[in-house]
Amino acid sequence: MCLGQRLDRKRKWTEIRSSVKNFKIYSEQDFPKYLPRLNSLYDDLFTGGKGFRAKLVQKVSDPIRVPEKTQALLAQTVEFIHNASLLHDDLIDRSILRRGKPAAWNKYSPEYAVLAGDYLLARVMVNLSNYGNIRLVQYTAEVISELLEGEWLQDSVIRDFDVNLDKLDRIHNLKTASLFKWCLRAPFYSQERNDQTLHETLEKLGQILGLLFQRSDDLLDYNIRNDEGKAILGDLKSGYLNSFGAFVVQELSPDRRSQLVKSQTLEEFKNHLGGVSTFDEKVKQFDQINQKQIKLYQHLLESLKGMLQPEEQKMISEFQPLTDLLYWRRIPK
Amino acid sequence: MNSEFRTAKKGTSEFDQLIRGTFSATQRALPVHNLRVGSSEEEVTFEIVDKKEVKPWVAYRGFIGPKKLLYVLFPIFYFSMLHWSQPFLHSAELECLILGLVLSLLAVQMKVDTQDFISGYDRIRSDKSQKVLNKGWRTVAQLERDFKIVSGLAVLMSVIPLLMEPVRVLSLLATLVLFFVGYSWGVSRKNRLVRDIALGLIAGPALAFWILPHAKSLAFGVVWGCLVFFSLQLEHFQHYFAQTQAGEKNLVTMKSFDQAPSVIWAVWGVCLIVYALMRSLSSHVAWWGGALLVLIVMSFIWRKSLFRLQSPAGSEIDKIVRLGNQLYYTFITLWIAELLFKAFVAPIVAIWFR
Repeated sequence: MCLGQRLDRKRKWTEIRSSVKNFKIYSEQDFPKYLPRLNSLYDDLFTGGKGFRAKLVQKVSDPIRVPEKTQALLAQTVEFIHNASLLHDDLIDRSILRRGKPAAWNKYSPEYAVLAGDYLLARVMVNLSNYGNIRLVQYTAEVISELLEGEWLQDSVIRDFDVNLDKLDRIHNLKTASLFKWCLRAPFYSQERNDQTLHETLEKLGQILGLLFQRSDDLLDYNIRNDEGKAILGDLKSGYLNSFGAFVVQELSPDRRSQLVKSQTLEEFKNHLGGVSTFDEKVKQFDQINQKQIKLYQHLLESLKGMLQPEEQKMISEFQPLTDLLYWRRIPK
Repeated sequence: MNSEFRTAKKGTSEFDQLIRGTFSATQRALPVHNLRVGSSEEEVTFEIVDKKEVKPWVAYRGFIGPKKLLYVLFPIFYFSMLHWSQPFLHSAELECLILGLVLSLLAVQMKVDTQDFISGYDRIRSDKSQKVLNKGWRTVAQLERDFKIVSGLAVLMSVIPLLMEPVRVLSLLATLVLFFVGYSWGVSRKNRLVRDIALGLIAGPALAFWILPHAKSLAFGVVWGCLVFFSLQLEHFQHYFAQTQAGEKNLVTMKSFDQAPSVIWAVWGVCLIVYALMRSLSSHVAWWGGALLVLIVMSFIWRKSLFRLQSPAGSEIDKIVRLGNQLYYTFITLWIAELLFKAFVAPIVAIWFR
């Protein structure tokens, strides 16, 4: 890709980000004023987020006519859960930056970061209980549990450079995909639409979206489609072999594998792998296996269409370009 | 990678053709998404891929792994070696029986796998160890045809020993069929502890007592039953993450991940203790003391990594299970070496010294 194209893509991303830059999913009334630093911590945390999950909730809610108030509650719920996980995640990973600013644990204190994350999760339960849909409360609690299980397991494989892609997928299914599934299923639950076939299909679609998002995010670490300027080899240097890393090392001998994971720069990584062309070939193969998931996703969308009322089917056209955005990081037309 | 997807509902002819693999001669349908499994509303999405060249032995390796064969062949080998001069079955009978046994095992596995695949259990199970149908190495239609051939051959092989010693052979076949049906049945159930105990008892004391109705046979059977049970627990341990997620129960998953290594270690410890007890009752320590010492040293090396295990999702658990299996096979190899020595070398040495 030439410099002009890269700049163009970067500009488009910036536009998208700026259009939702002030995406603020809560009001100050949601949190007690007497807790020192809490509101400023949340201000820092929520500002600059893309709010993608909230938008996904909206894409599902609109066609099935979820009332606006409920939509706001669902959007707030998913953003609260997601941001709570970020607060905890940054502390676990000792990441000093979040969305270009000092991470909460770094700026305030680790104690405040933990408590602020817990507080968000508690608010989720309070707000949803007030709403009164017990199935939705139960499902949300299950998703929070899955998210935490995923975090826990991910931490347990740090410095494990032999971990395989299948096991990482299981972890990512808990850690990343659970919220995507929630975004697709929760609006239906809010409307008391609990049909098992519908939910199993949405579950699978959410699983694929989560998997693609995670794998695409993991590719950024190797500077693939990295228009957001994410730090290169950040995961690897902090001892975490991500999905692309696991895919690349799976056929290497133990010696080469141990050399590869010690790489300090991307050039060094490519050299240890066998050169730029080998690296590019691996990216191509990785894209191919994910392309298969995209095809399955598109196929399952057709099945979903049959489960929706005619006026609800516009949801499908909203869902179709999501894989472009999440995996290929292309701006949907 | 050329692939397309097709979704079909149970009860339609399209579903039947896809699940049985008869829809095309050059393509295979691999189930990738299952809805409402087991209900009349069941719907399956298949990935249609070009037929890959798979040699039949690759496909069948999945059915008769060496581990499963060993569970029933080792007791037969043990008693054959122990009573080499006075065999419990004539040689021709024994050969036919062993061949018939392997073929019966293959046939039972084929039948159960086909049923589990069609019913949907294999398509949604967590550890994905059943690959033959799920990966499209064989189709249901092919497997049904293979089953007829293999079970026919198994019956043919059993005819000779059956004519010579009908009662003994029939009771052995009944014990073995019970074992394999129990094994395959247990694989598709959520609580496997009862299955594991039953398999240990059938492959151990029951089989041993059938071969040679004697108290000493029972003692051997208990040791062997414990080893079979240990091997099954190792298998569960390897899939701890997937099995606990799926809510499957067995001795290992009943405990937390931190306690699971202690369970494995305790079962292995029981194997060694029972072995030492059994052998001390029947033969001089010189015959088995060395083997036990080797096993104890190896066990403590294994223990180090077993109790250092950090994650059920990492790669370390696979390495630990591999080491555990090595220990299990070393145990058997040392025992086989001793049996061979006693059967063939010791008599020559005795004659020489005489």
